[in-house]
Amino acid sequence: MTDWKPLDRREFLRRSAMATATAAAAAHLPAGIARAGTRPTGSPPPDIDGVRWDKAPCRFCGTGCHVQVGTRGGKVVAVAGDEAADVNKGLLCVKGYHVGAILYGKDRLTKPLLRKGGKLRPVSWDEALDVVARRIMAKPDEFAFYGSGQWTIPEGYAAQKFTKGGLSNNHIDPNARLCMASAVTGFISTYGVDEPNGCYQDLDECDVVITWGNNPAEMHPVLFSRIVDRRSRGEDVKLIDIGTRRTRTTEHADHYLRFDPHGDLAIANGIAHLLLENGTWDRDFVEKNCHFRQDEAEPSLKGKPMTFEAYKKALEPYTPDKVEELSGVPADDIRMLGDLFGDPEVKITSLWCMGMNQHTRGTAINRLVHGVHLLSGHFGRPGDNPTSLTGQPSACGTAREVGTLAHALPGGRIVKKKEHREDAERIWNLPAGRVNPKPGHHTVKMWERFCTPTSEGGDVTTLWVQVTNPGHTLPNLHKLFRAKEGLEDKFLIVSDVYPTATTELADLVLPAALWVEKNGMFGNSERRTQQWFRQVMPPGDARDDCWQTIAVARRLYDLGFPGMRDKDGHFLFRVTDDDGREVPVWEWEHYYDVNVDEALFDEYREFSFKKHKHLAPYSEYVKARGLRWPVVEQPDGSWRETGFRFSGFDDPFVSEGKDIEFYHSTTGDGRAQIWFMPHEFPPEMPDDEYPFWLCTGRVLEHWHTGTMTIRVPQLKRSMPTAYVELHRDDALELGVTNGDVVVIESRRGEVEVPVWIDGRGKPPRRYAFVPFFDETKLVNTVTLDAHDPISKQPDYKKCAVRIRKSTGSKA
Amino acid sequence: MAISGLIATLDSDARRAEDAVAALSEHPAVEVGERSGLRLPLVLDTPSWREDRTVYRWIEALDGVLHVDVACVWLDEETDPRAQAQEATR
Repeated sequence: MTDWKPLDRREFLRRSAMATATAAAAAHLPAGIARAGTRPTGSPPPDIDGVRWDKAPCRFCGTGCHVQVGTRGGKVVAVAGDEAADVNKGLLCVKGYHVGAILYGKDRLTKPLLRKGGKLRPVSWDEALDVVARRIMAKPDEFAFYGSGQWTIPEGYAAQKFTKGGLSNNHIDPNARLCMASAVTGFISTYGVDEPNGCYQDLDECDVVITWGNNPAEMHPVLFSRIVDRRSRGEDVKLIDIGTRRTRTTEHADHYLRFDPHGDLAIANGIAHLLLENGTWDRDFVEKNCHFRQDEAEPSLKGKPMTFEAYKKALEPYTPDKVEELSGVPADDIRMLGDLFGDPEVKITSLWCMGMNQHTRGTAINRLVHGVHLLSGHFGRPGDNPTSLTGQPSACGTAREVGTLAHALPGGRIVKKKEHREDAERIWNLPAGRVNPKPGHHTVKMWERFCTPTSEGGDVTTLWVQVTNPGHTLPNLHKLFRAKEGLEDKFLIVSDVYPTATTELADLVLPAALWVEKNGMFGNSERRTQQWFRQVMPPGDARDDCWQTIAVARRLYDLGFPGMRDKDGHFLFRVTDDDGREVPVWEWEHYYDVNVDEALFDEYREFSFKKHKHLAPYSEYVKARGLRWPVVEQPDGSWRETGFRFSGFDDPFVSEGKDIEFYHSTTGDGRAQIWFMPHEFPPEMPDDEYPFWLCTGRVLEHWHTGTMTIRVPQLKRSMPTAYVELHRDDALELGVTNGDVVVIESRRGEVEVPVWIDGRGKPPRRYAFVPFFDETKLVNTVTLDAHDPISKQPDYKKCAVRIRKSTGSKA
Repeated sequence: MAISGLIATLDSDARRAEDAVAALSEHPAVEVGERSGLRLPLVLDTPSWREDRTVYRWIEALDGVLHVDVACVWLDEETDPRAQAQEATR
C-alpha cells in the first residue's frame, strides 16, 4: 500500500506550469531532442478542474501568436502559449501573459448609450439600430465607416460589403492607414501585389538581421525571442540596429547606426551606390528579374521607367561621405552595410514596422529597402528577404487582404478598375454599376471632412467607428477629432468595449464583444490566416461588431433602402442553414444559430484567387494554427500553405523551371521594380523656435492606445503613465530631472508629461520620445498631419517641438 | 494566488548564467526547472498578481538573464471583478 494522496490544487497547477514551461523551452531544442519528464510538445494543456481549452490567436499585435485559452464557468481562467503553433512555439510575451484579463475591466460597456440632453444615456438595441439606420437612410452618401486592423476578417468583410456593395459610397478606411499603408504601397509598386514574400522562418535562417527604425525587442518580443534563442544556442546571428534612438533592441545589437530623421533614405541610397561602385550588385538576378523605375512629377504607384545608366547616375551623389552628411551615420558604417549587401554568401533579413511606414516619404523608404535587397540579390532564399511587420492582429488579414481601404475591394482589387468592380458585383450578386468607381475618403480626409461644418464642405455627417480609438490616435487631434465638438449636424457612432477618448465625443455608443467572446479570424504579418471560436459570452448587452453591421443593414433593408438587396431582391447578408432556409442572423437571438463567420469567409474566399492570395475553405482553418496564403489544394485533397512567395522552390504559382517570378509585376513581365527615390528632408524640422525632434511610439506593456491593457492592473502598475525620454544634457539645460513635468509644445498643440532620463530608450541630443498609449496625455495633439503623397499615411515619428519645465509640481 | 510558467533565456557567459540560476533558485517564489540549453523553465508561485508581477520584473532585470518568455498563466481568482477592483485600488 502506498501513501499516495491527491495533489492539492495549487501543487497541481505548479506542476502543470512547470511541465508547460519545460515543454516550451524544449521545443526550441534541435529536432529529435526531447526532455525527459515533460508531456509531448504540441499536446494540449492539462485538464485541470474542468477547465476547457481551445485555441485563439492573441488579441494584440501583428505577430499572431497562438494561445490556448482555458475557460471554466463562462470565464477565461488560464492562458498558455500554444506549443502547436509555428509562430510562437508555446511562448508568449508579457502582454500575452495578461491577455485573458482584458475581458474583465470593471468599466466594460454593456449597454447601448445614446446622447440625449448632452449626456450618454442607456437605450435599447432596437432604438440604437433604428437611430443608425435612419441617419444612413437619410444621407447614405454622407456616411463613413472607420475601422481597423483589429476587425476580424469577417467583420471587415461585412463592413466592406455594407459600404461598397450596399451604400455605393466607398467611404470606408481602417486605422491601418495610420499604421502600414506605406508598406502596402511599397510592396505594390515594387512587386505589383501587397504583402511580404518571406515569413518568420527568415528569422530562423538569416545570418544578419537589420532593424530599420524598428524595435522588435519591445514591440514583437516573441519574434525577437527567435533571434535571442538562436544566439543562446551558439549560432552567429548579427544584429544591426538602424534607428533614431537607442532602444531595448539596441542592447542586443552588434552595430547601432543612429541616423537623423529621414536619413534612412540616404542610407539605402548609399548602400545601392556602393553595390554599383564596387561591382557587387547581383547582375544575374537583376537582369533576369528587375527593372528600374522613378517617380513622375506627380507621385504614383507606377511611376516611369528609367535605364540602368540613369539609375546609376542618380545614385552617384550618395557617396559614403555624402550619406554621412545627410544621415549622421559615419561613412565607415555605410561602407560596412555596402560590404554586407555585396556579400552573396550571407543571408540578410530586413525588418521594419512603424519607423519606415509612419514617414512622409514612407512609400519611398519602403521601395528603397526592397531595392537594396533586389539589387544585391538578397531575395527569395529563406533568411534572405525584406520583411515588414505589422502592429495590429489583422492589419494584413482584414485591412490589406479584405481591402477595407477607401480605394480597395477584396483580394487586391481596386474600385477604379471596371473589371474589379464587376468581380465584386458578380460575387456579391449585385446589379451592374452598384460599386462606385470613385475612391472614398482616406482616413485623414475622412476625419477632416467630418470635423468641417457641412456648410463649408464637410461632406461626412455620420461616421461609425468600430474596433479603434481615433480620438486618441489621429494626428493633429484638435483639427481632426476635437473640432467635431459643437457641430450639431454631425453624428459619431462608436462600437467599443471600454470608454475611450473617442466615446467621449460619441453621439451613440454600441457595446461590443471582445476577442474570445465572439467567433473570429485574423491574418498576421506573415500572410497567416487564423481562426477561433467564441469561448465565453460577452457581458451584458455587448454584441459582435459583425452582428451590429448586419443588423443595421437589415434595418435599412426593412426601411426599403435598395442597396441592401442583391439583384434577386435578397438581403445583402443572406445566410442559410444546411437545408437552404434563410436564418435571421440580424436578430441577436439567432446570430449564432449558424456560423456567420464561415458563411462570410467562404464567400470572401472567392475574391482571393485573382491575385494568387488563395485561401482555403473555412473548415481548414478550424483544424490548423493558421495557414499562410497562397494555400492550394493538393491532389490528395490536403491543403498546402506557402512560406516563400515568388520563389520557385515553394510558391506553386511560379512557372516551372524559374527560381524567381514576380507574377503580378506592374510591368506585366514577371519582373520587380527597383526604384530610385531621392533623399528629402522632412516637411517640418527643428528650428530656433521649436528646437527638438519629437518621435512617438509604443511601449512593451501597453498595446496601442492602452484601451485594453490599461485595464489590467499589473500592466497599469508597470507602466502607469506616458513620459518623455530626454537626453541627460538636454534635461540639464532645461533644468529638469526624472519625474519633473515638462510641457511639449508644437505649432499644433501641447501636452504635459513627466521626464525619464536614461530610461528604457536613450535618445540623442535635441530629441524627445513620447509613447502614445496614455489617454490622459494625448501626444497626438502635438503631432503633424503631413502625410505620404501616395500612401496618405501620416508621420508620427518626427515633428518639431519646444520643451519647457511645467509650472506644476512633479508627476 | 498567482501561478505562471516562464522561460528565461540565460547569458551565454557560463559564470553569469550560473549566478543567475543561483539567484533564481534562492528566491522563495521561484521554482527552477531543468535547463534546455540556455533556456530555463521557471514557475512563479505568489500570493497575488501584484507580487507575481514584481518577481517577473526582478527576473527580467537579473544579470545573466537575457530575455523572458511566458509559457502559461493561471488567471483564476484574479478574473473575479471584486479581486480586480481590490487590486486596482491598492
